Amino acid sequence: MEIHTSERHRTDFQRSKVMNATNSRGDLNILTGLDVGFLRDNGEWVTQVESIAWDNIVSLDSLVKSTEQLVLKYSSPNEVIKKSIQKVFENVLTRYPLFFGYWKRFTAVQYQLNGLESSIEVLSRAVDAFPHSLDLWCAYLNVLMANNADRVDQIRINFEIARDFVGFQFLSHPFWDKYIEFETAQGQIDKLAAIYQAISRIPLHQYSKYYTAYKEFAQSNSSKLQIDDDIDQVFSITQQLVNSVWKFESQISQSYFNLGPLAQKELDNWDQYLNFAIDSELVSNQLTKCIFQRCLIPCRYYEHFWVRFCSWMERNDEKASCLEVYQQGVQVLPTDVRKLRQNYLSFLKESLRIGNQNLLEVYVLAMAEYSGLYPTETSFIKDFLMIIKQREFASSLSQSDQEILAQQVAFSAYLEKNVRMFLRQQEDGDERLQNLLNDSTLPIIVVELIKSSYLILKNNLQTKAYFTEFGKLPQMKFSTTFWLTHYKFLKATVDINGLEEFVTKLGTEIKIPTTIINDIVGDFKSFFLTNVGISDYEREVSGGRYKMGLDPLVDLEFKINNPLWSKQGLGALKRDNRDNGHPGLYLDKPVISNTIVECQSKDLVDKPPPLPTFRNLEKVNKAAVHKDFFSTDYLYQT
Amino acid sequence: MDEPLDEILDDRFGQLSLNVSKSPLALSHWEELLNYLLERASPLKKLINSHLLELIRDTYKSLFTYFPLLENYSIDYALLEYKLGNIKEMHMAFVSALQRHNNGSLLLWLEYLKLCNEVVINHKQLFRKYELAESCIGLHFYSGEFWEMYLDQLRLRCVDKRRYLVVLRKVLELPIYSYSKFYAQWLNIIDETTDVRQLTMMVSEADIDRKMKIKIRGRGRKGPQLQEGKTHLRKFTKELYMVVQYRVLEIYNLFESNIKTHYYCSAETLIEKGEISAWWRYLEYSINNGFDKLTHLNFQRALLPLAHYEMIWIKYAMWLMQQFEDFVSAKSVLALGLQLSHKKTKIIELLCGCLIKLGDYDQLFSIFNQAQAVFGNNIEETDDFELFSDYLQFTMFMEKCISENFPAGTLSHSETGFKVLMKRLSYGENKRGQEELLHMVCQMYKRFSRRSLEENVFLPIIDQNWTYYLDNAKFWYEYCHRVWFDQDSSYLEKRRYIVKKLFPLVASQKLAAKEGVISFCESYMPEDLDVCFQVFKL
Repeated sequence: MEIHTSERHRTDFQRSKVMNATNSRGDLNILTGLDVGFLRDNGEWVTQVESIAWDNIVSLDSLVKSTEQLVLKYSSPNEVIKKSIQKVFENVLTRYPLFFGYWKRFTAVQYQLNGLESSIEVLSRAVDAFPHSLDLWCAYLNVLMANNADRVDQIRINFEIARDFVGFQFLSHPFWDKYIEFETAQGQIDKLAAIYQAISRIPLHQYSKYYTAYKEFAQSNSSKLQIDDDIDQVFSITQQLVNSVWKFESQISQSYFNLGPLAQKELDNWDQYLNFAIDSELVSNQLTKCIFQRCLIPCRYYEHFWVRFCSWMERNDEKASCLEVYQQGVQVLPTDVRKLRQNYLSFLKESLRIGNQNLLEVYVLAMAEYSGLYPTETSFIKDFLMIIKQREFASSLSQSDQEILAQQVAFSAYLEKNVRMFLRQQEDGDERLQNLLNDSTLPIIVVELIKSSYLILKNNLQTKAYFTEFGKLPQMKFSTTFWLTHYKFLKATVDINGLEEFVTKLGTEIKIPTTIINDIVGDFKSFFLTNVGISDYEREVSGGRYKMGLDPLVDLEFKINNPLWSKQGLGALKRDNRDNGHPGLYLDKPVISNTIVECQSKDLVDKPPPLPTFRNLEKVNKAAVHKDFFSTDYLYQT
Repeated sequence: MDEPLDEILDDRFGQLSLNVSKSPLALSHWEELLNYLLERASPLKKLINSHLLELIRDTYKSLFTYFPLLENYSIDYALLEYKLGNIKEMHMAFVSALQRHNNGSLLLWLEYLKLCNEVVINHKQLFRKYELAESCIGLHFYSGEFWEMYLDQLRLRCVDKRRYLVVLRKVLELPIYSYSKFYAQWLNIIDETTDVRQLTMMVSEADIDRKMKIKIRGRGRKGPQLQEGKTHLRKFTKELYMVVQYRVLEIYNLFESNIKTHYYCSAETLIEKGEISAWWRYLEYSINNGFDKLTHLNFQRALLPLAHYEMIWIKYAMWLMQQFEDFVSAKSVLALGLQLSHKKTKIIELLCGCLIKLGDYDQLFSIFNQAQAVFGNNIEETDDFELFSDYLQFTMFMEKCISENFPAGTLSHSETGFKVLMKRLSYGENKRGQEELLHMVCQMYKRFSRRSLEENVFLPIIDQNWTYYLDNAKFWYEYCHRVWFDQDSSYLEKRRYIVKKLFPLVASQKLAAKEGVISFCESYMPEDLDVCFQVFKL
């Protein structure tokens, strides 16, 4: 189990690296407008800007440091320089909003460059971009309290927002202290009571401090308000909870975001912590959610935790915020991890099903986006067609037969039109559908069209015509879906001739994976035995049909694992005598071209054998040649 | 008058022969019995008790019925006859032993020819045996000993050197383990040649004339011509040596060096994977590179150690069928394979195809009967799903022939397809492959109409509440699918049937069953998904 987890984590991380590498491209615009003199004087900084490696924390850090040096160097820089300095931070923080240290340094820089208001503005943006940062909230609230003490309502609202975001964190006592300090200064006893009530239930590192404080507060205000809590009892439960979470909290050594992989120990600890939180009855949903959010700071690039979080949210009926988390996750994670995206689509599909109609557009857009990312994935178009048929070509059994059939005909026409539009590269089709169509997904819609014509409209002639027409398209050559549908159709119509022809073409004209060919061949044998009788078979044998054609009773075995086998080559089985028993190694071997080893010696007595002649004699000492099957059979053949 | 057997044999014989009859597939019991009998017969003398000799002969014969590939015991038996002076029996013993090996056993040939050297006086007769051996095992990688013996006999028994030279010349080209010693002999002969005319025994005259530019019948001085001829011969010998050495090393390094077991092993013995794969590659290589005779021989060799592995029998039979359309040989290979291989199902399948192809229905039905008999005429009880499905498929295929040509009871398969099928299905989770079986039945479009399938399979399962299927997504999917693919019903009828009849049936089943129908609807009738969820209360 552990091995699996670590494997998963490792791949997750490797992928995140790939993503960062792709991110490293892009125009920074930092140096635009700077004058030549400035650029010359700050050559080192310029070099750092130009050679920044976005996935390397050292490179980032030295850029930020030398940018700070610029601020010290130029006490009153001009607007262009100011802009450039800001852009450095903007760039770093847009890419990595979870670097709270850089946000703070940006605040300090902004204070120097543009004064207090701008720096507060930066902090406000910081808590928006990284709302789960305790540090940023404390810094922001500090600044607000120190400088805008008169805007009580604004500060209070911010405290309340922060409470929801960071109030449940294990080390959030600085925030709570500040909150208590603020409300104490405002003399709001009922608000204080509510704060104490909340804190008393949260497992905080310093929970005992609040135990005493709560008791004192209750005593000193006993005349003014009624406190319902049995404080001792509440804290004894909290104490128990603190003891339980301590096991995990004490193991967290990197609670912040950083580039580079997270230690396996940390990942395992988060995993176990989450297991505990989900299973334990003591842990409230709010707390679990907070643990997830904290976990996703250091584990931002590990899909596993996003998937866990989302499925937990789904289970706990937090549909609205679930959508948000999904969207965050799919934005953050590199494009080649698919699980979360798949889950996201399933989530949307399920939401649509239970009546959340306004998500249709989101769903279709997401599918279009992902079909661009994963062009060979066919599930998007399948789901899309299903949804469209359900919504735009709906028919119910309560309707009249004519109405139902009219809808089916319309759907068939819709499919055919879109196939033709795609093939002719015209833009007259349904744009939503055309967005999902490419060479890999075309077979899906073709198969839908055929299913509709065969099973619903029951037009066998048309169906055959479709198979013939589309079977010639290059896009179908490798499509398992298309050929399996064809095979199914031939079986359902018990077209033994067609089936034999089909199986003969497998591997040569129909290029689907060998495992599938094997399955079809095996299935056909059983189909043949159970749908054809011995007398029919004997008649065909005496008619000479199986002399040249494939005999399903014995020949099918040869096709298994050897898709290129054909009856025509029988007897003169092609020999490659350059094979030397090593796969992929071929030799033009020295051989005797007029060898007598197969002659009986007796027959040679009266006529002695000629002198031996040789082929490739000069190759006696040559090394073996590697035959590159990948290039010859796969890359260039198509 | 010989003593009756009772006088010679004691109580142990009873016990030992009982052991053998109880478990005839245990080789050790046979060994004990034979050792006991041979001990009773010793010291061997011509005047052995005839009853005892018959008993020993019969015991060997029965042993070979169960273990046809035991080379050393075949030799032991032949030697026994030889020691007793029964030369005719010795010949017969070897001939029948060789037949059991399709004449492909080097060991048997060597032992046989050694004795023939002693006892066959007539040169022609002896060399006929050598010629037969040459055609059967002449290409064997370890046939060096055979060729040496052959050459020795030719030297001893023929005055004319011609034949000796021709055999030696052929051996030079063989890729065999001990190739080099024959080159030494050949070079000696070249050295010893003193007359140009002798060259015609080694090389065709045309080549001597054209390639060596030597006029045997011309005038001119013969001395320089002889030297020239010898140089030519040495040159081609060297080239031949290089080519043969190349091939021998290739075969040895890649394959032969990995093959340690050259004899039949008892059923309990496992052969190392490396060795099996070496054989596999060796056979592939032989098929691609070698001569058909050598490929035959290598198959025959591989059969000994791998007799209990199905793959070797299958590969051999497939090669025979594919390469030569030789269904008769393939049939005998498969029949022996069926007797010896541990796994039999795949062999039976191939053998059935082969027998139908050959029109040998008697043997086919006897296989069916045997298979039935193993399970007390209840083949549906087998744990081997493949065996059951093959049985079902082949008997269905042969159904007409069975009912026309064989009176009731000839073939134990007396029940109709549906009955056997339902019996098998009734085992539910206790048997593997139920879903495949259901699928197979649903695909029998020509045999069973939708209505008869429903009446005989689907509805009885539902009525009898076989929960294994009712809780199974595949069952319901298959049911809907069969209805949907029914050629004889209209679209609306099928759709109504599924929505109005099947949805309510599934509604009371477990979630897994519902998922089967949902997945069907997603593929084929999405417009009814909403109704589906509604009926299922999801």
